[in-house]
Amino acid sequence: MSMLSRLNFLLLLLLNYKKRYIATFLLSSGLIAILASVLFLSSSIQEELMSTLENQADFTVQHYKSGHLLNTPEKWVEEYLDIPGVSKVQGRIYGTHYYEPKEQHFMLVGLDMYDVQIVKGMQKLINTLDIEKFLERKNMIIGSGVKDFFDKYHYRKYYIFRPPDRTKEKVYIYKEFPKGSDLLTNDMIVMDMPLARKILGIEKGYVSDIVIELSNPDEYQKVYEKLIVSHFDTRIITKKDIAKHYTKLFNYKGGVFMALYIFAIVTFLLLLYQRYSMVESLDLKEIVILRSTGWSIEQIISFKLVENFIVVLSAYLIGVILAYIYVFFLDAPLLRDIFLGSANLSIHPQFMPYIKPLDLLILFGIFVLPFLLAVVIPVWKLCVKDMSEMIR
Amino acid sequence: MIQLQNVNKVFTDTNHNNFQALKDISLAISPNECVLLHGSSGSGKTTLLHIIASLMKPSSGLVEVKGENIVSLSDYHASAYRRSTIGYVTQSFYLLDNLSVEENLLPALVLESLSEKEMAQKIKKALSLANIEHKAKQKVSTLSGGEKQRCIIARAIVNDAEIVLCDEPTANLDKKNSLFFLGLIQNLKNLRKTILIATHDPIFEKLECVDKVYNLEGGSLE
Repeated sequence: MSMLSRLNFLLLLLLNYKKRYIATFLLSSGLIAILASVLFLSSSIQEELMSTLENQADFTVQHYKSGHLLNTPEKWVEEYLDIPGVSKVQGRIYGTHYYEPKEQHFMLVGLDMYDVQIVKGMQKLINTLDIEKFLERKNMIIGSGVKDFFDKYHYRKYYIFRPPDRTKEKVYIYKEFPKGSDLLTNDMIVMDMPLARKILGIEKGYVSDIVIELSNPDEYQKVYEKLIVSHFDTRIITKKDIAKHYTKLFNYKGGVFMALYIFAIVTFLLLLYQRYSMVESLDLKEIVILRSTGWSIEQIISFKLVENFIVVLSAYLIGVILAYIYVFFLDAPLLRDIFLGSANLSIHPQFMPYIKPLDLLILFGIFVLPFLLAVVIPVWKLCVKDMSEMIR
Repeated sequence: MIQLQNVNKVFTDTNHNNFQALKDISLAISPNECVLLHGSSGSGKTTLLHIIASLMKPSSGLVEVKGENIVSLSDYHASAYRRSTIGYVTQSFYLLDNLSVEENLLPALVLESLSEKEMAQKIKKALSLANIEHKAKQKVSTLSGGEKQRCIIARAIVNDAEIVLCDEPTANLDKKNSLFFLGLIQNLKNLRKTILIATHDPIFEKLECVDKVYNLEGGSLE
């Protein structure tokens, strides 16, 4: 009963002294919302990128000469197939299509639409894809950013490409990639491989690069070494390289995030200072009342701890919920531009909810513990103070 | 009931200067006595009350309440003693202004294992004794000075304390409310409470139920 009575009394104080906590509560919620948004956003993007990494080939071979990237001879495909442990080798056709009047570029990808695996993969992404219909004429599937761009310049049904041989290629817009895949497909145009080859000007017998998959991961090092020595003008990109690239993806934006974190830390320190000094003025009366009515120092400190824990926990939960709504329902306006600002076409991705519980726990610990300490220390200092100075 | 023997209290400031607030205080108060502790400001009255309430330890000497030496009590046990035995009436209006009169009595009760019904009964009784029952639901911030003082008295007696310590209880009251307060003291005396009033207000000379008067000057009893 005593515990329940104490809790009732505590809630009574919280409800009747709302003004005392409102600034702390609002500031804390805002701060938590900002930090949690950054966490949610980066976790979501990294998770999406990492899940695409799983579908990446084990090796990508590119042809280099004097530091310049060249098209890769297609005959290497047969050579690589002979390496023991290799299960699949495929030449890829892709490149950049530059739209000079508006200084925009699109990622043009040619896929072998007669390859059952590729068609299945595409159908997984667009389940209404009818491949026969797609191949009936020159068609393309475009990302949301490309679609917006085409709409803006009235290319609603088709777009005319101008390949290097100065001919014209009228390609119809067949479908749009789903919004959820925006992070990867926003500026992408997918078409049949021979058409892409023509538009990009890649000669027969050449591909953009070659991807290699292994049947046995234990053969990784051996195959890698064989790939290196097979041709001396190549660059071998491994899955690990891509993973490293993804991990470092946000590093160049470190300055922006450093500023954001410094802002959050400074605000938090101010909040702690404000809470620390507030204890002196506001809680003094309360402590005198509690001491004179028979509360021990330990009981007062635990009472104050619970009181502030309720405030800070509510602020934390509200902050996290706000961040969740902001990122996963509103798709993080403003903040997404910091994360994805380098895209040449404006990107409106739908972030998939992915939350790391440990991150939330760390955020909770970093925020709540110093906050509670900022309350307990001055309360304890007041409690052990000479009562003559307090009760007058 | 209360026995003090050679009680001394020395305060040391931040510059390590000593100030002796109480010098060899010895006194005895019997149950149901009403004792007046007279003295000018700074004479050590509040310090003496704090020592009896176990809010402060003496530098030396013995303090016995109901036969128990309270000097050696830990903070936890001293607090329990204060809760069960002492009702403290402060000079300033130490009240939670945003709470109602009856809610202001809760700090003295919530640590006890009482049912809601028992709590309500105790609150009702205390408010009635302090003659503030009619304002039970009213917020303290809307009360007059005299009503606030009655609320503090209700809080001091809500836990059925045997000893009521009053520190300059009329310092913030006008004459009418001070006289009303004297009536309340008489009621407490009738309830067989032991009362110790520290004051320099001459109005207490009119209080008929006073059994003893001590004069405290410069930390010594005269």
